[in-house]
Amino acid sequence: MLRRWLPPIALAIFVCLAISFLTPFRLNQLTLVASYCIALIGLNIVVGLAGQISLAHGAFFAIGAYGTAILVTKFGVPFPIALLGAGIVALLTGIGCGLPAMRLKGHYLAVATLAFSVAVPPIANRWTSLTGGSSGLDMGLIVVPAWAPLAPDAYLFLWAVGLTALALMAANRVARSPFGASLLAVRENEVAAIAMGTNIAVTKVSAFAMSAGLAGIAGGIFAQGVGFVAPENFGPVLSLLFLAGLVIGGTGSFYGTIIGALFLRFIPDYAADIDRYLAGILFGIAIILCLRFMPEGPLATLARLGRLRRRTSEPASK
Amino acid sequence: MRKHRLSYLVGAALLLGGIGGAQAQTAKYPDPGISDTEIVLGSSYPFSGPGAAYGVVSEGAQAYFNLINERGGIDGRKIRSILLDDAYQPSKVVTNVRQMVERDQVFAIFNIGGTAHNLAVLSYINQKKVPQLYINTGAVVFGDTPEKNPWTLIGIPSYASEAAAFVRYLEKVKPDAKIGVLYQSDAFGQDLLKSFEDALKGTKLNLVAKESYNPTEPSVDSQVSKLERSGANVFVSFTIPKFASQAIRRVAELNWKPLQLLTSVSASTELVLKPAGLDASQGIVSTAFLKDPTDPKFAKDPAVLEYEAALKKSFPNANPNDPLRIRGWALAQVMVKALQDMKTPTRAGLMAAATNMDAELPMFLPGIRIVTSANDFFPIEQLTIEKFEGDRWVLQGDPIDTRKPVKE
Repeated sequence: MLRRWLPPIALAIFVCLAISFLTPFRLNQLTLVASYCIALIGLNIVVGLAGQISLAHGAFFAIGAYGTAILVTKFGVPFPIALLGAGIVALLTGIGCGLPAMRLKGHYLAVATLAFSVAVPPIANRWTSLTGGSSGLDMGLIVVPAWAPLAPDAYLFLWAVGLTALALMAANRVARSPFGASLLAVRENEVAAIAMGTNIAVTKVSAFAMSAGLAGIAGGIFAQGVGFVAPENFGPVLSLLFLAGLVIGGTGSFYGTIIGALFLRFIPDYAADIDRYLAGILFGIAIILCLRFMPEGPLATLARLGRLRRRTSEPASK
Repeated sequence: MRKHRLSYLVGAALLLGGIGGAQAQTAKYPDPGISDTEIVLGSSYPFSGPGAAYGVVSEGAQAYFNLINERGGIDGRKIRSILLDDAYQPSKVVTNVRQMVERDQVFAIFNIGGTAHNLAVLSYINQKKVPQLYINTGAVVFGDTPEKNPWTLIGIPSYASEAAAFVRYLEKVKPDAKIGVLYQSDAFGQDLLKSFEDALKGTKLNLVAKESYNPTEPSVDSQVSKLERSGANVFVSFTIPKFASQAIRRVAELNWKPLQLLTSVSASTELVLKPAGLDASQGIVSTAFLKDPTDPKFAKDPAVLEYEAALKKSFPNANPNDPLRIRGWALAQVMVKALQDMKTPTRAGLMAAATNMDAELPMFLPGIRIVTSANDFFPIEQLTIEKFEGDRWVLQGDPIDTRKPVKE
């Protein structure tokens, strides 16, 4: 009983404390962390569970960001509904991306999905009537409904944290479901999975669709958190960063995505505090160090260390 | 529930540790970032990423602030700069500016570059009422509506000023001009083209052809060929460096001999003219507003000597001839002038000084004045025509004043 209720209660306390005590600036930073976190959860479905490499994730994130920005600024749609709409658009794109993916594997899949990421910024640049082209789209602050006694940053933070929690819960559930089992089967051995009656095509495409939908919602939160979208924000490097963030957090558990998201948001800032010009190199070194010493992510490493200690201390106590 | 002044510090520290202390605000200093001893300015530049070349603008500016600080600062206040990297991403500019305004408590934001990058923070800045001064873009939108963006001021001549200067020049040297324009199909190119067309109204100059290109296209060869076939005898190039260079080469290949006008955005000897070929670049006309250390005319100029010495002191390895460093230095001079002119040490006082200026500053070309008023948010509206001769730009006569008759 306690195990079941502990996470939501802890989350509620965290949110209340954060909204009461943090500055709008910090809340905004955490909102961006939450958006990265949702994106990484989505990516982990494809990479961690299904064992496929996707470098299209930045593109889905961009589609969600632009979708939300366009719905909010051009059609006056309220943010939560715009977010849902953008998520659906990203999900449909994910299906489009999943169709070639079911035929490709390994490096070929990586390159094919990378094409999506490469294509998005020029499209956003060219399609000026919709995306604002190189001048971008200004969303401004989120509109807080009259009934909510919250500042814009706090209101958006609530949405971001709530959706992150939902995404985590849903992803954990998917992982334990029969569908999750078929994803694992695809990852471990496709031939065996087919022999056991798994429909590989449907499984892979569904994984891509779910992952893209989450990335879209993440992108929407990011867009509103920043308040502005422009093509330069969504270059192919973003997809690589997501993959790096995921691997750093550890693909074994969805909770690792929180660590990956914190890493992506804050380590570049800390690196820049040390030296502006070497920031990129320091960030790279940080990634390599993480992978060298915590190859399965900090959570798995801590758990392993814990087990080691128990194992070594148990005989002594007997 | 949400506004506990005292507790927010505790909470923030609890979470991440890295907290800048909010300084006490007093009756004398109602705004943050300024005290008897210090003025804090925040800037965001691309130190990494695709636009990293623009990062050196900050070196020119810092060199000047260092010089001012050595001389005792401004009324005893030393300038302290907070410099953040935005990797040329508008979203990073937003998070950087929020950090500087909300966490680092800067007095004003100085010298951010890029049109989209400044648009990204425009509404935030004007909501928070923080001066966003001498931004590095010529987009007309920033100065057009002072009543809408009273806290934002551009730092370089607007694209409209440059377009108008070109038209005045053509009226003088080629009154029967048949003009062909190549422009980039985005806000930058369209801003220039529209201003140019506006300035053409009421003149005898003819715009016979205009061709656009998208910055993602590999080449502008076909556009230049079309312009040549239009029979134009003036070729106007509103392009970024890569395409400017291609166009110059193409004009030479076609053996077309128009008078070429090139936007100052691409008037770089190193990036544009040398790759295109110096032979092909002879006689190209552009505009300038700052002194160029490589111009023999300014070799002994005290302003240039001061700049070279100070830059060497602050950044021993920096190339003083880079126009971007010169621009940073010059805009820092305008910034310091505005800070010196403040009647009250507040953000509003700074804006009042910055938007009520009539000054001639050392690094600007002789005759160019920085002029602003409550309804004129374009500080630099005089430009000197320059022509490429041999291997460098040569200034042509006095500055052209592009100011429209003031609307009352």
